[in-house]
Amino acid sequence: MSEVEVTLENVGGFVNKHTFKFKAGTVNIVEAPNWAGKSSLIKGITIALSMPFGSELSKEVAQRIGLIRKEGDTREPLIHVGKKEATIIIRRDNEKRICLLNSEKGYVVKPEGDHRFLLTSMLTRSSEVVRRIADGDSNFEWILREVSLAERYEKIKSLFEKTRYEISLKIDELGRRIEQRNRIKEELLKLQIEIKKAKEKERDLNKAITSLPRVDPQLENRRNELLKQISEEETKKYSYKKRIEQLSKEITEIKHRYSSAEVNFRMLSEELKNTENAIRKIEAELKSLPSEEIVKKWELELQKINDARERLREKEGEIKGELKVYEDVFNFMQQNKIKETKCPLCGEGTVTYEDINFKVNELKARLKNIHDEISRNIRYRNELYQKIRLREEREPSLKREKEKLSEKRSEIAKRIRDIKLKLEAAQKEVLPLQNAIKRTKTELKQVEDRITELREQLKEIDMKISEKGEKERKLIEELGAIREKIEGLDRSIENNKKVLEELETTEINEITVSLDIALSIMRKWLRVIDEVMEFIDSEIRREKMLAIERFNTEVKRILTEVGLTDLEIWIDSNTYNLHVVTEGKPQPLVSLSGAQKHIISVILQLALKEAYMRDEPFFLIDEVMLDFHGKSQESIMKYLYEATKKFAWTTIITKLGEGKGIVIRSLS
Amino acid sequence: MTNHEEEIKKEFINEIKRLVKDRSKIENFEDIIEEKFQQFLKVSLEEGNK
Repeated sequence: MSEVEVTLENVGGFVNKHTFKFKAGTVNIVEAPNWAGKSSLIKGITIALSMPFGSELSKEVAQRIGLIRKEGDTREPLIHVGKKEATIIIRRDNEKRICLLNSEKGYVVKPEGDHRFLLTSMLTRSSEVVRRIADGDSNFEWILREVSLAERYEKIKSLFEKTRYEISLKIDELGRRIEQRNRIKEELLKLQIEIKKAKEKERDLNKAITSLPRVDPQLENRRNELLKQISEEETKKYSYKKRIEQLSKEITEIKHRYSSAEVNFRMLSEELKNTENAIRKIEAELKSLPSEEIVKKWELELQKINDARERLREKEGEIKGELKVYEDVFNFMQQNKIKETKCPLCGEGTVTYEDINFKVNELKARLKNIHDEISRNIRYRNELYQKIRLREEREPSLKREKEKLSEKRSEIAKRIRDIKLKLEAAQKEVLPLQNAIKRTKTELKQVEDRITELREQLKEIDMKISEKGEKERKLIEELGAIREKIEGLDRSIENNKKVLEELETTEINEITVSLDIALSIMRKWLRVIDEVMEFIDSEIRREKMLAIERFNTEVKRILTEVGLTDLEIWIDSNTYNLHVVTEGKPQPLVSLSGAQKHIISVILQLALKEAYMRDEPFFLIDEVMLDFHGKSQESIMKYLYEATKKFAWTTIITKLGEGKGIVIRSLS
Repeated sequence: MTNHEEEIKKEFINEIKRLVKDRSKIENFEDIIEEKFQQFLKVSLEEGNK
């Protein structure tokens, strides 16, 4: 009996190298207490035999049993805590399988394992069969897909479905483009018909215009003659206007030339006027001065005034003397308090103090009157004197001023005469020009009248021929509109042709192909894909059928061999559902007891192993799975033992032991 | 479908049969589909031009 050697280094709870030896062709019992490393051993063997996990289901199972860690996984990792690498080596006869696990780089398994090992060669509480039976899930299509080539065909099919979808999109797109192209073609055809009709209409209108009756030639000639005459008169009118403009320009130039003289003339005229006014003013003032006779009279009067003033002065002296006497007496009497005295002048009689006082006051009053008279006299004298002196002084100055102004007036008058001569010369130049303008304006008026008259005549003729003109105008208008339409249609046709050109072809794999050919090719390609997919579908069905057949055969055989003859189990080839019949009665999985489910799980796992992975020598079993009572356990264990022996499997049953480490013994 | 096109279909099926036995190559099957389409396109265009 050959041996199988399993070496684990840094796997799970094992640090450094640990080698376990098993016997091939028999059932090996692995006994160990909890935490001794049973699970690490089973996981190590499993990962080395099932990597890589090639299907979604196998990945799911691998995660469930802790071969692949997922986020939040609290179970013991496959690589020992604190280590980065782990190694698993399995030796059997001359075969060696190495599995290197690296926490950063991943894994390497040589030779590669088979993910179906997880589904067929493990009988633990985490096995897929056990789990599904426990859940009462009767759909067993999964196992058919996993163990046969159906799963690979399905993978290929999914790629074809993607391709098919892309082809369908392309066909739809081509269909839409062809539809659009056909619509544009139809539109183009309509436009072409329309343009043909429009061109026919254009021809008809041209013919209609040409065939309109001719106008009376005499009227036409007369009209042309009038137009010619109007044109000639217009030319004349233009030349007259130009002539007037030219003459006006010449006059302006002359006036411009003499404009400073004109200004000077106006200024000097104003100055002359002012000078003459000033002379007149002086003459009036001179005239208002007193005559010589009056002056002589004033001089005589002045003499009289002087004489009168002399007299008044004398009188004043007299009164002052008399007043002096009386005042002295008065003062004496007052100081001496004398009441009466003799007349101070004549020394006779008696005068009283009051008389003296009266006399003083009287004399003072007389003196004042004399003073007033003298003042008047002086004022009058001054007035006369002033008048005489004023006349003596003013008259010569006025005369001098008048003389000066007279000289100025003569000078201005002379300059005005010179300027007048210049302006007269200018007037002589301008006058013929003004006359010429006047004449030309008369001629212009005549021409304008003539034009008005000719236009009236033209209007009359136009009215006569307007009936024919109206018809022609309408036809020409219509012709214009139809030509515009033709241009628009031409543009639309060109645009549609451009769009059509773009729509005529498409690109397939960078090759330009016409739309129809592209559609035909894509449709044929779709047919090819559909036919290939039909083949794939048939292969999937065939594979599944073969798998069912094989599975059902194995289950039936095992049931017979273990003596469970009242139990029938099979997968339905149409529904892929697992059917269980006990004592002739169909039993839904959910209605089965725990023990029944247990036994069925073991039978199915044995059938899967034998049907699909008989050549894989390892079969890993948790003793708990065989924990049922009675004949069934005994016969199943016997069957397991025989099958292990027959197929040279290395069956490993893990068992909770009471010793300190792992103990391996073979079942005899 | 012409004979050539039919032939390509058969080749396709044979290729698939061959590939299901070799799992690793299935991942590259998209490239094979593209390659077959190129052949199909070439043949179809040649047939169409005749």
